[in-house]
Amino acid sequence: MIEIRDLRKSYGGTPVLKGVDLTIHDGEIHGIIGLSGAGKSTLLKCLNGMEPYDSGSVKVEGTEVSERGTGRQARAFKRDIGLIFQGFSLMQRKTVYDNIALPMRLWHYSKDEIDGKVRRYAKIVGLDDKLDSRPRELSGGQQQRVAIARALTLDPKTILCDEATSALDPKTTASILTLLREINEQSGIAVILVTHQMEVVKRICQNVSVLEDGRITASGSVQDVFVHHASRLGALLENREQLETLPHTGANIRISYGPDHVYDTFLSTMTRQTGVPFSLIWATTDKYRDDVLGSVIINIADSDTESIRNYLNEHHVIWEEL
Amino acid sequence: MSDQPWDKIINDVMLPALESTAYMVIISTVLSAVIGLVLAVVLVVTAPGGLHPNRIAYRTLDIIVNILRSFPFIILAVAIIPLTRLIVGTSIGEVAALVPLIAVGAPFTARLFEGSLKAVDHDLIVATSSFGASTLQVVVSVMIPEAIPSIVLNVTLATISILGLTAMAGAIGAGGLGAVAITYGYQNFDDVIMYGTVIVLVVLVQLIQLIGNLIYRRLR
Repeated sequence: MIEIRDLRKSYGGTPVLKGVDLTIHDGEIHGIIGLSGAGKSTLLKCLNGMEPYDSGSVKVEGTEVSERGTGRQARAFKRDIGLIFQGFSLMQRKTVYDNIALPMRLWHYSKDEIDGKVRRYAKIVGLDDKLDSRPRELSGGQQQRVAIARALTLDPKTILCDEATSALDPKTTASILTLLREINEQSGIAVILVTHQMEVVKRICQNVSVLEDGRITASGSVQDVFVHHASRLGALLENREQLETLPHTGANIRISYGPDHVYDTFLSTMTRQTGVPFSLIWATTDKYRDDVLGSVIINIADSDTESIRNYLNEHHVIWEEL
Repeated sequence: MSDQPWDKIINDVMLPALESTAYMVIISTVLSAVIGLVLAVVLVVTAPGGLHPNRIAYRTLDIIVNILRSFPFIILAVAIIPLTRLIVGTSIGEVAALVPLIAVGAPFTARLFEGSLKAVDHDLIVATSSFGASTLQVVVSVMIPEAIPSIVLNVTLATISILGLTAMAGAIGAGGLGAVAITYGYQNFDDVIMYGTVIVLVVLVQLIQLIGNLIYRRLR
């Protein structure tokens, strides 16, 4: 479990983290999304003990990161979190076998133990026939699989993926995410995915936190954040242009559907009961992990706004005016 | 034209000169590379954003390397004659020449190796320390092994530069091919010996580069 409370950090007087609160529970898949410059990489460095923080608390498995001290003991703590990077970060001159074995060799594991684990994890990531290959002979997806196997060898409690799929094509991204989910489900290792790709969050995250300008501005289950903070996510992720194409007259209203209401006939019922005509600006249904969520934006005349607002509130619909 | 018989020139002049040039080049390149690698590691590790940033250590070393690199070789060789005498006991001969050659070669290779080490994927270094590796482990198990092909190319470059310096050192009493070209060739108005020496040097440079490229290709 990772607990971050009121974490603050500035570089040369410029605050980068302005009081971050975040909890990563054991065994969950948690997405952290944010645009570049939001403080993602600084947060990761504080989490890994690579950067000291100014104030607040970062506890990994119950131990305050800033109180780990130095030397061998402090280095041992780092093993609780395995890192995976966008650029795969493999040793180009070594074989897949040697790359996976690296962390264990650093800790002087016995030859037999290293051999057993390398073969086991290579099998899990589906590369047991590539042990003698060099990274440059592998595809991007395969290289990332090597990195994942390498991160697993020290039995971390958490795997932290820093834009791990950003350099991969959509199909390979999907296969890497599936692999991470399998690992999560089979071994209970928590997975933190730092990303700017909505696809990543949608596909496997249970919980998501939005990091904006050094603060967590929304956090919770993916359904919750999607339904209640739709515009926040939209502005951060792929839907910028959607907001730019909204009509300038009348009122634009976004209605979000949770998994239980996605297939309801709500909009047509609303028109029939209120008699208010609307134009449909934008609509989507999306699969989030295992659930389907929906979102529509409608445009109505200013004179009708009041009655629609009342109707939406009466029916406990999640909506917002844009 | 040369007034000496050919076999005498080759056996009594060229071959011993070639031997002492090879001696100077090999010993000073090896020692420069060892010292240079240590300096390069210290530079990279203590640099801002390095594994153990240390402003004072980095700046001090950085300035010393720059100072040694700014001397023209021939001036440096003369300027450190007292030091050379202190270490070797004389300022003449190929052993004495090693001192200025290494004084120039070590900071030169340090800069070259610094570039090689800096080119290693930064995330790979972060990843390795995230597995709990000590700084020494990161340097020895990841940084240097990953930089080896680039280091080999830079050693090749350094060897050729040092070969050039030994020829210059020949002008102030180091012996070797440079001394032959200057004393037997230039000062004796003997074009055959002078250009003959140049041809030997050209062949040596080609050979060194060829070997360097071959090793690079094998290691890459």
